[in-house]
Amino acid sequence: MPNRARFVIHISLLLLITLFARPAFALSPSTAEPPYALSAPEVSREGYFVLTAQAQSSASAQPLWVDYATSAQFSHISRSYPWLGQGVADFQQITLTGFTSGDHYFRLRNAAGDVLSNVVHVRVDHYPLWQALGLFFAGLTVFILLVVLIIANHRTASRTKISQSKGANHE
Amino acid sequence: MNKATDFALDSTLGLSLVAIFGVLWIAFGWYLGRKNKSHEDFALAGRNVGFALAAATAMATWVTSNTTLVAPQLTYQLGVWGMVGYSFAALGLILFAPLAARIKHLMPHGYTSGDFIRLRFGRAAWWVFMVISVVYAMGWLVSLGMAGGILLQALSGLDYHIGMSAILLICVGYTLFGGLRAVIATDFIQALIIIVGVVGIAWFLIDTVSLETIHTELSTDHPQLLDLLFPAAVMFLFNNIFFGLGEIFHSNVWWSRALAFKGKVAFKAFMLGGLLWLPIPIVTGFIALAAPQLGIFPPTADMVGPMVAAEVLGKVGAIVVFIVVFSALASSLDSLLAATSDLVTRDFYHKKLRPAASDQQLLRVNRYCIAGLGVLTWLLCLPQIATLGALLNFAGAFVASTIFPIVFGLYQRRLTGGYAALAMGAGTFAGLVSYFAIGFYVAALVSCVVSALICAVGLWRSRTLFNWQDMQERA
Repeated sequence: MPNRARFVIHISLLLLITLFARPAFALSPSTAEPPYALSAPEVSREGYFVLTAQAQSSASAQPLWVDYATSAQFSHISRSYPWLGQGVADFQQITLTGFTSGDHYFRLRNAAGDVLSNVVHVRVDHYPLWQALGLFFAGLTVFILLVVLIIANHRTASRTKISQSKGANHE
Repeated sequence: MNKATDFALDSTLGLSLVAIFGVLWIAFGWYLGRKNKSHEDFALAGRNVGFALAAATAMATWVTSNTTLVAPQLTYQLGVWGMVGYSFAALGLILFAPLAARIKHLMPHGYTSGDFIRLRFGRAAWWVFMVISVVYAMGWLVSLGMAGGILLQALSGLDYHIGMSAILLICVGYTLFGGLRAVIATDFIQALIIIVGVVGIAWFLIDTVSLETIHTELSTDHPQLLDLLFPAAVMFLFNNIFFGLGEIFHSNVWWSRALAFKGKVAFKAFMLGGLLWLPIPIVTGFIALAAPQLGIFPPTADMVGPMVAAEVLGKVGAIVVFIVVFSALASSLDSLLAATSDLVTRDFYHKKLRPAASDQQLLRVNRYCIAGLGVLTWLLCLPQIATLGALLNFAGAFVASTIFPIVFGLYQRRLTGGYAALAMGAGTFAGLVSYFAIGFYVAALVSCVVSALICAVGLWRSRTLFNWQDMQERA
């Protein structure tokens, strides 16, 4: 075969291969789908949030843990949280709390360490302190006003009641 | 900690406990109810409640799902400020003490908080007030019914709907038989159970999980919970105070007690009830701080209290937790059923529909209302629509708007009905806007501030003076 024809065949085969090329999970979606679909709110302003897991057809009842990391690659797992009961069969969600501002990543695993879900990302963004303190001092001012008002009026009412009863006794 | 948590009780034991308590409370309610001869006996316990029962009912009614389930929830979510802030709700009872004395003085023959608003501010303010009262009463009733279901689910894995239905059935049962007399008597026993149980749980918890390990765990993995400048928690602090004040100042649960207490008992009873209540949320809230150390991360935040207690104390502990929380729920649910049915009977049926109704007719209608409210609450509890904290704090936007109109209404002759209605309406609206725009932890604060400003304008502009003699209405 002349070199030119060989070159054309090679290029054609290469194009054919490229045409059929697919990611592995696209060729066999049923086997690559993780057993649980994990979801979470994108943003939390308070540092607490709820993770929700939906069991797919391949999921079985088993104890689960939520892995937590500060990077999407999970190069270092900061903490694991046990899921209540026998996994999603008993409860479909877990409430986590006490997180500082920043990016937080979570995924599900079983006791053997097999990863069983997608990775979810939660951005914690606490309210600015000036805003919180503004409301705090507004509340404090109104509260002091209310207490003073109740005590002053109660004293006045008590004095009036005593003077009225004395007046009635004199009559 | 790499350990999955199992249920502390099996579901049969959970159901058996519910059945035993149900039979006991209903039998007790029936026994006490035999003394009720008139509507006044049924609705206001003959206006003859002494100091010990009065203080106990004030404290026990205020210890509710709020304190036993929501205080741990808010501590789990907002940290140290959650439990400290929650305990400040005791200020509601303490500051209501002088108001109760004033209520008893102004309306010795009064029945409900609705009576006061109608006589003091007129029809427009009465309608706004009734909407707020009904929304709040239903919100609280639903949260209590939900709490019963959540409690049994957390401790025994029993279906939410079974626990919720059981507690509603029991409370409707004994309130129906005994009226306010049964409510106050059961509150006294429930108050004793709550105090002993809560102290016992906290004692065992500190003994099992030391304060030092809890602090280390929180500092490392949940630092925000120990931060005294945690923004959402700082916002929550005064919000919770105003929510508590609004709940107590407006609700007929507390007005009916002020009117039922004998002579000058009301002031001292509310003061003592508040002081007894103050440490309870600190203790129940503290339980939640141990959750991360014990590896407990609940499905919903309102389940954390019972789960931690059951984990630490085992099966016996779970039974103790069950009895304490069940008592707390029952002591509030019965009070709310009785007070709300009084409000409907007196303010709608007697004052609007049948002014000539006989005493026995009122008694019968009151009982129908209790049963009807029970059924309505059950229907609203069926879908578990929100967490307890979120549901309760939604009501905060409504009730906090009533604080200043009620205080000024009781003491100042110049605030008119128009400004009172505007203050409550606009305060509620502003509170709801902030609830959805910012969060549950600011709704009551915003509502109260807006209402206070409108009342201040009303006092400044008004030239008419209310005649206190107009409050003296005979039944």
